[in-house]
Amino acid sequence: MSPTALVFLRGVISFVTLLILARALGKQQLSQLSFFEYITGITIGSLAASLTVDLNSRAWLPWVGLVTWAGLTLATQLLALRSRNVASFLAGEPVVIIHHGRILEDNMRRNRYRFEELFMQLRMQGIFDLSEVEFAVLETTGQLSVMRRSADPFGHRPNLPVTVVQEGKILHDKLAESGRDEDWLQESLRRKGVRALSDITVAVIEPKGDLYVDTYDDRPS
Amino acid sequence: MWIRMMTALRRWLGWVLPAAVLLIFAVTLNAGTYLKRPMGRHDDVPGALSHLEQAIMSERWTESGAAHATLSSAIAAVRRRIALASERSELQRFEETLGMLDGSLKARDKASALQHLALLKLLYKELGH
Repeated sequence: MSPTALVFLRGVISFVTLLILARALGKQQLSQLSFFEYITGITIGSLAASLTVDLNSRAWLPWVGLVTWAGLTLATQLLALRSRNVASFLAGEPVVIIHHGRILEDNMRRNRYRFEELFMQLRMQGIFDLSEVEFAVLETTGQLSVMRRSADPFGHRPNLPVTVVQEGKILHDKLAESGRDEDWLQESLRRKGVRALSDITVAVIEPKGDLYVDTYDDRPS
Repeated sequence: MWIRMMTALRRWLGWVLPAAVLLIFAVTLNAGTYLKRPMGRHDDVPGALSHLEQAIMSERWTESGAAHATLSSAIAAVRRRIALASERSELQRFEETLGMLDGSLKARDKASALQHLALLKLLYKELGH
């Protein structure tokens, strides 16, 4: 078999394998990928290229590498769906950079995030005046989410939304962060007609302090 | 009922078909060990190697030349089958050694011919693994 025919055949195998694995890995957009997922994507692409053109290595070896990397990525995705701690370890957590208009330098330093990057990302959102910003959160994708200051006639300042229940489990650290306790949460849930914690998909304390609750029951009311 | 059956079938095919394709690839890329086995006399590499060894040991140089030609055509037949499952450099090394063996046979150098033959046996054993 000529090298050209061999590269063509290996290319077909590589292409179809990559297509199947990419379908299995889901529909995340490139802009939503964490740094680790981005590196994983590059590695998988590199293995596919090696499978196609590196005739001095057996096609089986890069193919196993390709399937292994995609399999491990899929496994970590499934683990991250099951455990919040795993998800946080793999992708990191969003970090507050500006809190009630004040820049949190410690958080910036811990994430090796420079002032120039902060100002650039604010400018890209049309913000040239720092005093316009109430909150800025550095997302796990590296994007900056900004909440602008609103003119509240009573001088109330909003807070960032805090997820306090996820998939039936109370996130005690987040609840404490929000300054509320479990009694308040149980009372709020009772008032909303939620019978059991296990019925809750997600419960969030919204910027104005109200509790938003979503249950597993998706039937329209 | 019909729609439900079609939906179930489509969902089933969505998993089973890709899994079957991956399985076929895995078997194909690993089939070198099986595909290098002789399917007839024309591609019997181990047989040709053994015949060649006997001819060299008893210094029947005309017969060893013919056995070398048989070995060359046998490996050419095998090469086509295992191209996908083996390294190109492995096959190249086998053919280079075959060329050197040809030189040893022409020079009627028994020691050198046996060395090259031993290397060919080793390379054949590793081919497609």
